[in-house]
Amino acid sequence: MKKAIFWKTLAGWLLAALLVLPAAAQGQGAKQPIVGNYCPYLGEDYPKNVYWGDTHVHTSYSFDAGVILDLGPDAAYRFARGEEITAQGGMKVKLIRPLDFLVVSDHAEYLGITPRIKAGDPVVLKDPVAQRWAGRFAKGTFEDVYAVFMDMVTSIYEDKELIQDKAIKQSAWEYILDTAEKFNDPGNFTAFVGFEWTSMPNGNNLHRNVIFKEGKAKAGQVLPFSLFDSEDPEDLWKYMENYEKKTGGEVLAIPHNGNLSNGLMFPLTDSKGNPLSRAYAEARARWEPLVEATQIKGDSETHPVLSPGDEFADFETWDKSNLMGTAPKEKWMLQYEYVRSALKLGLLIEEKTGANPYKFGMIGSTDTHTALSTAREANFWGKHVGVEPSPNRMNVPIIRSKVDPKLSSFGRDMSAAGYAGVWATENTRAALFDAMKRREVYASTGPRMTVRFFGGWDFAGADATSPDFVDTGYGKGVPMGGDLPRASAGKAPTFLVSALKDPDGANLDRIQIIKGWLDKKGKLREKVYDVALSDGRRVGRDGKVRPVGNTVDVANATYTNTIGDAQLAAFWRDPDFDAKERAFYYARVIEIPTPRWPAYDAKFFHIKMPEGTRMVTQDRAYTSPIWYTPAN
Amino acid sequence: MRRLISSVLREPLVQLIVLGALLFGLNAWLGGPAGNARPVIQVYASDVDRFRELFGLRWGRPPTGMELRGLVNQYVREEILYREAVALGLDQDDTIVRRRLAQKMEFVSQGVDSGEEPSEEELARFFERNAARYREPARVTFTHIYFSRDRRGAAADRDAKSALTALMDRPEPPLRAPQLGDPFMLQYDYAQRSEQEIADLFGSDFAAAVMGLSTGSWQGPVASSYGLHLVRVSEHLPARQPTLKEVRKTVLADFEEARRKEKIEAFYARLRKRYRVVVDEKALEEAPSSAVAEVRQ
Repeated sequence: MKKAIFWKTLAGWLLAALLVLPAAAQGQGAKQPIVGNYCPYLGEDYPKNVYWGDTHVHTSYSFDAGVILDLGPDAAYRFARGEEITAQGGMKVKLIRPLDFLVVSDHAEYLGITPRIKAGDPVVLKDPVAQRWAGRFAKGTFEDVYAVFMDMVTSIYEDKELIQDKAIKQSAWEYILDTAEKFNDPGNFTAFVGFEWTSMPNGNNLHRNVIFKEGKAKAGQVLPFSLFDSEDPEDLWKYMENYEKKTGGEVLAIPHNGNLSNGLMFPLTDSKGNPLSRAYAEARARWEPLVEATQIKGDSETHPVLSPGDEFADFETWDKSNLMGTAPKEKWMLQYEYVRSALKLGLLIEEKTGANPYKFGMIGSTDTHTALSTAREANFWGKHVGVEPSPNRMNVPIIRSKVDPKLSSFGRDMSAAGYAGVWATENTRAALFDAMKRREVYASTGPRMTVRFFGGWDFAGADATSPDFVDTGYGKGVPMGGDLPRASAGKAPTFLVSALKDPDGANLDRIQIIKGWLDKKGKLREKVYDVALSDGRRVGRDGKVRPVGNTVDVANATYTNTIGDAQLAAFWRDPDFDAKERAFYYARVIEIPTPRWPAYDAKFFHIKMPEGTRMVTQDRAYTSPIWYTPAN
Repeated sequence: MRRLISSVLREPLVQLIVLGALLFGLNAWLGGPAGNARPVIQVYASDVDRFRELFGLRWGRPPTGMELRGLVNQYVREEILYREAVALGLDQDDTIVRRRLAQKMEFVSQGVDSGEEPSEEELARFFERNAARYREPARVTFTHIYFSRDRRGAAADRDAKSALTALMDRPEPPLRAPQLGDPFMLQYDYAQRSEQEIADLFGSDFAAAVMGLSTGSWQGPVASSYGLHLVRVSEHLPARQPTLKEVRKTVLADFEEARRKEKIEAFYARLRKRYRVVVDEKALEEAPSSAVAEVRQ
């Protein structure tokens, strides 16, 4: 008994000594000047929380969604902030956890026209085309509704605006602005105002989502910019510049689905075919600080043809055609479509012109046309109303090609993705927008994993596992989205990265750092480094890593967290660094295998999936890059 | 009340009904369809005022005499076509007309007093009946020490327990001590969080456990989605019922929304009683899920 007390006391004192001694030792040898504040909480103005949201949700106010969807912007916000909603198909749906913010990004083209025709709005029905469509809706057969939809799509495809009354657009825009004001709740839930610019020359996707920092007071002074105003992104940037000049507000644009642009999204020339100028590069970098790297219509991080050495490159790949299914994909197009390749091309253009047009961060979003932002494999409500959960959603076309059935894509090809993680100081429009502008954001294909990534010259191995990880990261380096400061001679850049699993999700397989650079011969290069591996695994001599394993029971749509780690962290120094070469670095975090959403469908509806449907997935996150630029 | 009546009266449909009733009366008085008299379309001063107002709203200036005359002609034309269309039964099979009329019926059903503010007693009763909805959840302030199962494996539990013993044996245990455990990516200290908020970050088992800890001492280990934690709760704020005054704005909005829904439902229920509805249940069972339009972007 006495012995036990003795040992406990001894342990207690030893522990106390451990806590006190290092400080005392430092005190004794204090030759160094005392710097900083004693109070550890001063000056912590860096972001402590990651906020999750979706920058790309369509509602009935989008012309295409509206033909078959009655849920408007208010339903989209309600659902995002955690409320239970009845989906169009009649089933109830709710998120596992609320989102922190949402951008309702309805198409600027024919904004709000379909719900207003359906409601018999007399202002809209004055228009003869609207009257014709109203007649079609009134008949209400599939052929009629589809005819209206095709009228609109064709007019967009041909760039011929059928309804031009500005008053209609104005009143729809006002409703969208008012709804955002109603749901914007600083500190709890941020409702952003935005729209989608739907440019698609020859069916090649050039879409951008435009997001305003402000609400109605400023965004209400302009109307959404549509492809009927111009198909050329440079004109969109002029519109954005005009908004900022006119209102003193701020606005940014986020391109998506480079994978369906057939080589147009990240080009080396402008829309007139001239090589990119410095002015173009600067404008693009200014107005488009982010790219949506992953969403329901496929993942655009990289492609197996572009990154043959990357075993995780073939993820939710959509590479049959362009957006409209009018032209097949050709191999040369890929390098101008995918994010990693674009980041590399940016280095090349910067070398030539002095400015990098593709200096962007990465986010994920859904692009859902159901008003329901869902990206979880176990709760996925699909691309549009026709592919909400049902026994036959797998074979419903998403892209229906008129030229070749082989170019079509179907329900089963949908990726249950993605969300945007934003490191901001608080949950407000201003703080989230500022974080997006400085690219302190990352993309997730669904799970809400927490990821930190810092670059600097002086990190040390112990920093990665220190409780002061974040202080050190900001204190001695820059976070994701930033630029490495000038190189010190002879040093290679160092990085700290850490990731924590989704609290309701799967463990983590690994963290990788992906480097892209322009070598001395002018060749663009890339390499994937495994920097943190779960379950005590190490990189083998051959550079290979033993796979993490697989606990997925497809028939029951379950997995277990008996493999992988809850949290991973690493310090990494670039072993191949050359101070004369431009480079970027970003982190990729991979989850252990889990059931892909069709496995949940198969189990729930007791159905067999079409041959070749992938049933297991490894969800992931991509951070925004950190760039290195040589001093002249 | 007056505002509502006037807004009801401004509804074109109501105007049409009133006008129609008047015309019908007039017609009957003049001898009905058998008589020679042609139906009358009367444009009143109030109609002209309305045209003027609508024009002004749309164009930001009053209409010229000619424009006003044009509006009147347009109205008359629409009115004639409308009556003839109804006479021909063109309104019968039209989804839009049906839906619009149904909407108007619901609007009418909300009653004539729905624009009025509820009395304080009504509001207080509503607030009491729905007390749970306005209850503010209990909140805790806590700090924790993390023990990673990934790093320590089976030893995590033992390590956490011996760290706890050591902490408890100290005369004055530290108020926070994250360095005794493993580095953790989220925060070490959380102020005034509800169970739901903690669950969103650590998982629901951890949240429930932390809510149940007593104040002031280190306890645990408590398991989360990430591993084990020693937790020290420094403050419990019990759940509380706010006063009506504090949440009046929300309660008022909820009251009005609830009353609106109740009225519509009660109204519909009364109407529904007048009908016997027969549905072919078998067809419903067999119905294949319908194809839907393909949507892009």
